[in-house]
Amino acid sequence: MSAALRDRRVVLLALIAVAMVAMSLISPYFLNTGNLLSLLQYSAVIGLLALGQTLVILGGGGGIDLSIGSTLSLCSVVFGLLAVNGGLNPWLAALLTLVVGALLGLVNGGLITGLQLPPLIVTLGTLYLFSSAANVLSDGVDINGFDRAGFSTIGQTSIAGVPFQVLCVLIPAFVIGAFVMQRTVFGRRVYQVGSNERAAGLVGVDVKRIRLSLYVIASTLAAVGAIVTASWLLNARPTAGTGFELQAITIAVLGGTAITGGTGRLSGTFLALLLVAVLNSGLQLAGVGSTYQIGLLGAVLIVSMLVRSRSQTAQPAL
Amino acid sequence: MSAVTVTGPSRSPALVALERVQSLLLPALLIGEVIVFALLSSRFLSADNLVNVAVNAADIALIAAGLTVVVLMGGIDVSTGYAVGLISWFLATLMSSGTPGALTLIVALIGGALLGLLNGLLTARLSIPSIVATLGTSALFQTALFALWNRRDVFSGPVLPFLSGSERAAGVPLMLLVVLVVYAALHLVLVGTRVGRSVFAIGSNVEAARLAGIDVRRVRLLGSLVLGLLVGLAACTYLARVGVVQASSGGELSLLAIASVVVGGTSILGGEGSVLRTLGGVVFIALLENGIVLAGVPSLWNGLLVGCVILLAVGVNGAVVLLRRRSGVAE
Amino acid sequence: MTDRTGTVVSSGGAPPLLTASGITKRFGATRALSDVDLVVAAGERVAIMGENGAGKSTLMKVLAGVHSPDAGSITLDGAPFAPRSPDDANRAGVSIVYQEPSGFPHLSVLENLWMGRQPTRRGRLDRGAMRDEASALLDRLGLPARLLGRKMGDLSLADQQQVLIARAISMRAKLLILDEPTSILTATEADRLFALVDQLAGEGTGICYITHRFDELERVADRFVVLRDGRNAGETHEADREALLAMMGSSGEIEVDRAGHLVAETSTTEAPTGGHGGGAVMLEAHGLTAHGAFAGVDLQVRAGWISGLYGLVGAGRTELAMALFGEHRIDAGEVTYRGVPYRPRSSRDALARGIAYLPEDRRTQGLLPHMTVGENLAAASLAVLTRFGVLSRAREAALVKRWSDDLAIKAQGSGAPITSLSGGNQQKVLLARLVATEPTVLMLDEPTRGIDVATKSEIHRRVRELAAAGAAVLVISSEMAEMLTLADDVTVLHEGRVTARLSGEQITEQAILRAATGVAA
Repeated sequence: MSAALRDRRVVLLALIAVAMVAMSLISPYFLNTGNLLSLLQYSAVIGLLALGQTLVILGGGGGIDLSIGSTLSLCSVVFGLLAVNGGLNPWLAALLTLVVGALLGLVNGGLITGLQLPPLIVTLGTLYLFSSAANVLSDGVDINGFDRAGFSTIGQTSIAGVPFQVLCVLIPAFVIGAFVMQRTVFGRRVYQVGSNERAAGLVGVDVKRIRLSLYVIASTLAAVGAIVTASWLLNARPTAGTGFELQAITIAVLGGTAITGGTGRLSGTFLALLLVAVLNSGLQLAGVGSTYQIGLLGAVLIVSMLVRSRSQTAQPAL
Repeated sequence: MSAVTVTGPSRSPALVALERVQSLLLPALLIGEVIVFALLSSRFLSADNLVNVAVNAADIALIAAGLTVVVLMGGIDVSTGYAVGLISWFLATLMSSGTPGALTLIVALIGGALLGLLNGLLTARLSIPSIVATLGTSALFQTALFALWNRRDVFSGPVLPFLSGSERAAGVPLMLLVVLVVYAALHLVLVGTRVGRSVFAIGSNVEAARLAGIDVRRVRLLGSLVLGLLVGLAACTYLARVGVVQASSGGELSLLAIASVVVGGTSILGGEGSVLRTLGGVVFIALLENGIVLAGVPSLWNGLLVGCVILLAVGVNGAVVLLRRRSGVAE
Repeated sequence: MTDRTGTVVSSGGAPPLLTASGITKRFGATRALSDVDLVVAAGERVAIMGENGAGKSTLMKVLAGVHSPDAGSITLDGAPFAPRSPDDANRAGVSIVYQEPSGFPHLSVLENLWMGRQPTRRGRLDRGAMRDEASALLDRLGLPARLLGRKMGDLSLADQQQVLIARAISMRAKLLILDEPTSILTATEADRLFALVDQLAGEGTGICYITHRFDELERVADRFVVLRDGRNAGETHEADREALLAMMGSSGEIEVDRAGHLVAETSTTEAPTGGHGGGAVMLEAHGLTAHGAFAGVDLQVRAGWISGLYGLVGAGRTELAMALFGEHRIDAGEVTYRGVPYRPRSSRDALARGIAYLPEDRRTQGLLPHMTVGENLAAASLAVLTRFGVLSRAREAALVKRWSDDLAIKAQGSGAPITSLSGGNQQKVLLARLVATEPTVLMLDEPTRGIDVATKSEIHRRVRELAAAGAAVLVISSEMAEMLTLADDVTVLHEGRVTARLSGEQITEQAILRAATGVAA
């Protein structure tokens, strides 16, 4: 197995290329730039969640956030209550929603780092907690009546054919994220903690604080996703994020992030997201429902893990 | 880490107290729950209602029993819900085409075994982390169900009468007996046989288990197989309960089964726990869901309580570990 | 000086229990064992000796089925013996008990004794038989039968070790290998272990005993087999320290001289820092106590001076260093840094003040295995490489280049994965990581454990240069040679207490060992 093949991103690029060629053979309109970028419109929200999930997993220590979909649901309801029922200025409502998202992340991160509890279980607990809270707060019904003029900027406009949420939310999030991870002390610390928390502790890293902040970032990104979704669909649903957690984890792992932490890059997650978007649109072109996307995702995930475990057994571990 | 020899580690009073809390937490919560709901609703403790709870919880109980075996070995499975959904589609289809119930039951068990073996193959043989592998298979099962469903709900009666709530002996549904037999058998195997003890050994220290000559991969595969068989059985009781298979049938069961295991007190890190505790967890969650409805609380609050109980259970557990570490008891 | 007396077959003329001949084992490019022979008779106690990295553990792991040899053959009881796994070896009658006990912490002692081979009756565990046989076994070994019901994880390490030995015995071990078993034991616990070993040998079990502790030699062994650089270096029936040290001394002249007149030798050629008592006291501990680890420790670390801290494993030396580094609880006592009271709270705190610590275990505490050589080297220096939290790649590259040149690290560029380096070069990267922070106090915990001789002396030279340049150095080691060659003064810990403070001519192996083992002076 060559070094290039071992880099997940090369594999993903190749897969994307193959998928795009196949799609453009099926439909001549596929390679139109407008189409390409709008592909991502449907993936913007899941992309934000996958970004957060990647960070949490990278931080190691069994890091995972199962509650991220519920966090999105709860933030969505909070946003709806503030903006519609409370009649707040949309931007102020959005800001408060972000704060709520950060607080939910603090709950996860605090329990995990403070009491040293397994992330899988804590976030399973908060998955129930947050989604139930979303239902309770909204009485289990959608919040409609978003003021079209105030919200549609985020969800419905496009700049030069590129949807606003892609150009001004998703891409900046990944660009900033990648910069932070590769070029800043914080990013380096995350990799250190994920690689060997004991060693990181001994070179002066506050392991708990780094991990705590990763959960806060992930939840805040989920809040951003909630705002984007609500502004796009002009309603807030208490089930807006149901099932997203597993998709987000799947995309993160597909992008090459090792579930044990320390290895992975945001560019990989982005490529995985792109692949999913391309496949998804291909399925639409083929006239098949979007649920197939999930199955395809699962299949690609398993195959990619098989390739990985093969290449790992080929070379001696550590 | 070089450890200083701690001869006869002393347990602080706080630790002893907390360990007691840990072991009594679930019984205490159960008793508290029963008292509260009995006070809130006179119907709660009626035989009818309790039978009803038992029948409704059968599928979760069966999945959680098998899942406990996997979790005891340090694994996890998030695919059980859609596995149930997928198998029930086949069962419902077979039933509606007039296939005999006994044959359908066999199909259910074989189907479950195959799905379980698929997970076992990916995790035990191909060493893919179980959370990742079962996320993948969960997606596959979900999509397979969706494809088969093809916008057509399949209605079906129970596979066999004894796998539904209707057939009873002395007022006790036979289904409940099936569940209890499964738990008793699994408990006896885990506690009283060599392979059962190997399950605990693997969860406690894989490396030492290997050194002790345990075939770790085979025992893991066996665990996945057992879970698969029980998932197949659960598909039968699920179908009997809901009567119809839809696009996303069963999906809600995956996390609920994990929650039951965790609330029961089996350590998610493996090595410690029992199916009997899981049964306690299942009963607790089932009574909670039922009691809330009877007490007139909107069922929207369900998840809030389930979530709190999970966090409480795992929180006490974590505090014990922390204290134990602090007082220098080797883990 | 290969006074190889390999013709000694066994002590009593009885047929040998185990014969290994011509064992060779390579790991990648390094040869861990070259053509090694070993004979053990039934009931014989053989001590396997040698410096760290001499191949003792590898040889034992070959016998125990952990590694399979690249060349050579083994016979057990006259029959060919080629275990494919530890389980295989166990069944054939060769068991190994490691330094750190590894059982099943969540399970009872009874289960630990029987795991994997429980007696059954019609498929069900025969608990009665398990319990009866286990109590008889514990009884025979002089262990309390009440242990059986206790959870393994609740026992002290010493008790866990005894349980694992009992397990090996219950598997009818013909050859029992003990890998530095006393390193985690207190003196009384060690005595219990010795008695057990004697009893087993008396019953005909062959014992291979790896040890570094000269003081227990006569107690534990009938014969001493010395390995050096992966080869047989000789063997003897006499527990003669001088002779054994001479055999162990690896390729260097220093070591051989050390066995004779070490201090004189080192001070003329190798100790530029000695003689003047060092500069200002940089770090000082007074009455430092952490319950269960160390108590009432006074310690000084001076600029331009190398202080040694010696102690056997478990003496509390690492805990003490960790405490000074802010990573271990302190219950009582004072620390001053440059004469000012200082309460170490975290490694970040310590590093910010210029106190650096090289951890004891490279793999678990030092390396960042997923990262590159450069990222590993710069790991503790990020603060000086950034502006507003953004890393300057140019400055990082310069720092990495400077210090990897300085320590002559052999790597295929700074972007190479750290795991692609040899152990010695990995250790150099970790040392460079500390030196790059330009610390005033350097605490080096087992700085050369498990690395090759050449790198070892390179690191020793560099440490002396650092001290000569004004750094205050504390070398913590369980390796005698390191104390004798490096330290200007030596503080010896025994069970958490300082038992000796030696300087100049007082620094002799005898004095250090006596203090380290708690033998009254």
